[in-house]
Amino acid sequence: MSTATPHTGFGSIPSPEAEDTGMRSGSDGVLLFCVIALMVFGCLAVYSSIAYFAENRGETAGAFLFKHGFKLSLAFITMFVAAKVNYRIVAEWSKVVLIVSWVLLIWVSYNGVEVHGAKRSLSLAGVAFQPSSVAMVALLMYLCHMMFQKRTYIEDFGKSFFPALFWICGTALFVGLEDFSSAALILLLSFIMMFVGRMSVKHLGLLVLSGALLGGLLVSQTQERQSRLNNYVNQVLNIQSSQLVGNPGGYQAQQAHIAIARGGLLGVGVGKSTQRDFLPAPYNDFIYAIIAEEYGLLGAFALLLIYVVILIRGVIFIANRARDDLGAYMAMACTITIVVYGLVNAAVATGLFPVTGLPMPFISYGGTSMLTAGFMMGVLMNISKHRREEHEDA
Amino acid sequence: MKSDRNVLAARLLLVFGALLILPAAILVQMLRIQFAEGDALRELGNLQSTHQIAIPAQRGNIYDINGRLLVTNTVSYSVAVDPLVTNPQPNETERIAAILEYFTGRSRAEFLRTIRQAPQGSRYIVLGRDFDRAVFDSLRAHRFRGIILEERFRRHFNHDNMASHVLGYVNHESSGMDGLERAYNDLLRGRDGQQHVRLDSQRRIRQYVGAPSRRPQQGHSLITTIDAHIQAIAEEELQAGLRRTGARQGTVIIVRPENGQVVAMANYPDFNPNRPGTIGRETRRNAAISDMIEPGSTFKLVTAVAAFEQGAVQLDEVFNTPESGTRLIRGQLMRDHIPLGDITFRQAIERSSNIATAEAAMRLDRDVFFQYVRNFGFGALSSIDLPGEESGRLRRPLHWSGVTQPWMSIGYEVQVTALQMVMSYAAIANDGRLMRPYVVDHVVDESGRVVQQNRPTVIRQAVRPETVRALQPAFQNVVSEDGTARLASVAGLSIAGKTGTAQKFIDGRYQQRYRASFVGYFPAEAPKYAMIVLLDEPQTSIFGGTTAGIVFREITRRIMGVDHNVRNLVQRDLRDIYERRTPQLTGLQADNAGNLAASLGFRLVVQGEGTRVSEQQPAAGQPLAAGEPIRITLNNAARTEITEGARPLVPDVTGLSMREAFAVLREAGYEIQQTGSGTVAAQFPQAGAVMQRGRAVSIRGRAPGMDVLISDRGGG
Repeated sequence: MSTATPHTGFGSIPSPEAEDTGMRSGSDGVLLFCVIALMVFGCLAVYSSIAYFAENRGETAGAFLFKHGFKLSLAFITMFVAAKVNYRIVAEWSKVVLIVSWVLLIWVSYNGVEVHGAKRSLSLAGVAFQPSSVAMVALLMYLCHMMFQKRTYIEDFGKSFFPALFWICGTALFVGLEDFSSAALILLLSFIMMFVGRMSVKHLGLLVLSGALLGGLLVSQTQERQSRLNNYVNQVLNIQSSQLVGNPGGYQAQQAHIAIARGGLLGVGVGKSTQRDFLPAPYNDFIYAIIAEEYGLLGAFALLLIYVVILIRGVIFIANRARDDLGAYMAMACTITIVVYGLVNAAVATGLFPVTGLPMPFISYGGTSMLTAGFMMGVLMNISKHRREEHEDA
Repeated sequence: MKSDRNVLAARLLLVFGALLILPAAILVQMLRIQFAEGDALRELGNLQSTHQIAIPAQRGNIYDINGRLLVTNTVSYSVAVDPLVTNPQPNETERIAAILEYFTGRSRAEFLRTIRQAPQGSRYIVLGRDFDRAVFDSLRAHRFRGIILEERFRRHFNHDNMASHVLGYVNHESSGMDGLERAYNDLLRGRDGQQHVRLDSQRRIRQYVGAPSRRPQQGHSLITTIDAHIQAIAEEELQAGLRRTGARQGTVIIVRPENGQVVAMANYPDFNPNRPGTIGRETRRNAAISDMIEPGSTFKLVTAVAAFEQGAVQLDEVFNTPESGTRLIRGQLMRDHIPLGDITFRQAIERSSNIATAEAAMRLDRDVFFQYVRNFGFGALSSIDLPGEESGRLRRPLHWSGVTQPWMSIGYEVQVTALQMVMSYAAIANDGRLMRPYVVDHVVDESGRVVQQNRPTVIRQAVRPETVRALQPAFQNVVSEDGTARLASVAGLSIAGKTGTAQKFIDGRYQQRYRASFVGYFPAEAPKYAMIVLLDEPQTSIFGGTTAGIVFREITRRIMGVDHNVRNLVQRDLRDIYERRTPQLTGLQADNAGNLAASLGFRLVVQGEGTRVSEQQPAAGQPLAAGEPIRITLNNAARTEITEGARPLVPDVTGLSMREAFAVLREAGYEIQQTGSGTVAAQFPQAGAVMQRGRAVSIRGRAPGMDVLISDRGGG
């Protein structure tokens, strides 16, 4: 039996009223458990690692923990609200939000608040707000929506591939003005979504090829880029443990390694990290290293496991069993965004990736990333409510 | 549709599988970090985050022989600001400046200017190094972000200039630069403790780790042989002597002949070791041990001892000195200060005849004479435990010219230090045994355990005791009516000594500039003190007896008031000429004044109403004829000198009876440390010194009336 979703025609999405035909079930309890577990982990790690930063700002760690808790509850509320809103409505509004976020991105790069030499956020009623993460969510949602609309001619280059590429490259460009690593991640996630959205493998292969060519061209052009690439490869392969490294990237990776090494199997104990004084932004970029130090290999593995559980839940149980392709796409987009962010942060802390400054969803101290993660988790939960009745494809 | 669905499922699974590579890679990488590189990384982590800092040890104290604290440490607080600190409090620098203004009285604009004028980007701007505890506490309570407060031990010399040349001074790192501070630096310094601390990436201290890995070993304390009372007396009288004679500079050394302990060593001009940088190097030098001088007549002691002990002269052998008072000796003209005619050798000593002394010296073999000079310690270091000592200049007989021996016999062509000179007289006072002088009696550690005890050391028997006994009357007579130093005599006390007047040898010739000295010891029968007084270029008179001799006398008679042993040797009964003196009543409460007067047998005539005595007639210490009443005026106001708060001054109680002194000092708020009885002969600190209330003033008594006796002589 084919899906029961009635389609009103091309370019439109199933109306919300039609949903009673699908099977309704409760939100995913496992996901909720994972989110709460991550948040508890995050509270402990942030409280421990922010003390030094707080002291330098003349405030107490308690005050920052309170702020963190406030953001967590906002994210929680966002998650529940998003879980109540039908994902089709989200898809419908995504194009508007994406265009607004483009405008915001351009505006921010001229009038934003400068943090670490880059203008990434604007102050909204006293709360720092980063349009780039909103743009990313909106892009991914809109991509899902578009691919679902064009699903009958999805392999067409001019009608499907090119428009998708336009929105992706446009967003990546505007985000990349101030935040290169976020833009790179947007490209990566969009590429995965294009693959998931059944676009032509030929076209995607062409994209990878041209990307590789462009990259190779850029690297080969200057000596500096070559040596930076070499440095990075060396850094991943050899952990410089005998002496302190001079260049900032290497230094930070090395400090993260020291944190992991100090942690051992069971960790040095809650709140006993010493590397938090040496790592930059230990409450954000390098929070995984702090967790590895305080809770050891076991704690760090448990954290990875939570993300893997989210991945399994999101891909196998939700996307794969979604009522329609739109649900599957969106479930996939939400899942990989949260998981890839989490894993990339861990990969940076362990020295696999170069230092990026990306937050760990539900763990790191940070406002906008927390809200977008909560929103995506909410969308994922909403999709999980609408399952297909039969499981013959599973 | 169905195939679409399958394609989607396949692609989902592909992505799922691809994404699982990432956690697997992270896992492998973490295991690799943990087990392959773990040890090296952990060691690097410890290396960068732990550090050892020093816990400063406190430098030891220096005490006088009676346990009075001469040098100690105070804590000073330095305040610096870091204007570039992140997130300062609002108006932080202005508020810091305001607090400093409140406590120091210096204007806040001054502090702000210091901050403004600091080099661009500096993050450590010192606003001051010598603040009080109150400033420190206040600033710390405000929890300013950009303030750097530091606590430091600072060396504190309790009595400023007193004994400055002996005590020495320290540099900014509290390392001894001169005097005892330098000689005993290693013992005083102690050993810093160690503490493990955890650092952050800026290498600032984050926290202390555990207990100190090594506790600081506090510096040892010195108990010196200096007697603060006598040192103060010597300095006062030396200064008075310099003022009286117009001399450029002067030196006094007092030692104990029986063991070589230095009781007092004073040079003037002196300096304040709390601020050594404010005065030139020349003034900080301890002239008593580092200035080489030609001694002049005081050196005749050596000649007399050598000639007598070798049997070259008899005491009553007559020397014919020419009528003119001058004689050519080996082609050079030698002269006596006055023509002396025919005199015995004993008289030659008493009246300081150059010609007779030189003749006696020339009867000796030059090597024998040289040996005597060496035996008295000349030309060699005395090995006193102070830095910067000179050995003087004594040429070997091989290099002597024909006139060296006669001129050396009267104290020329030889250079000595004041310390060598006084030690040679101390040797005579000590039955001919030359002692090593020393300033530190013993060294104690933190808990009072003695870690080093300096014992008296006999360098050698310089002369035979019989020689000393035979010659002593002659030296004693110098101070009698006949001798050159009768002004140095103190009634009732037998002093043995010798005057000296040496022409200064500058730029290759002897100038009409002189150095006057007096060296002696007392009481002559059982010597307790040997002393040298040296005045450089006195203007009033060139003769040692009338300049240095008077300083010697003044110091001696004040020491008599302080030292019972000396006083008890004064045999004469002094009570006959005892005269009553008015007690100090001003400042006392009316009742107390009445009781005091009644107990001393005085009658009071009271004027005015009130609770306190504001005036008295005659003044305290003035003599009062028998039966005369003391007139006192009462009022209610407390005496301003006593109540006026900030700088309490020690009142003058010398000359008062013990009972009166007690009343006055109690009234002024001081504790009392009493030695002896009778009238107060000396007090410490001196009158007018600033001292906190509640501390002890030590007073020493002596038998009543002695000052009456000694003040009727003198006339210097």
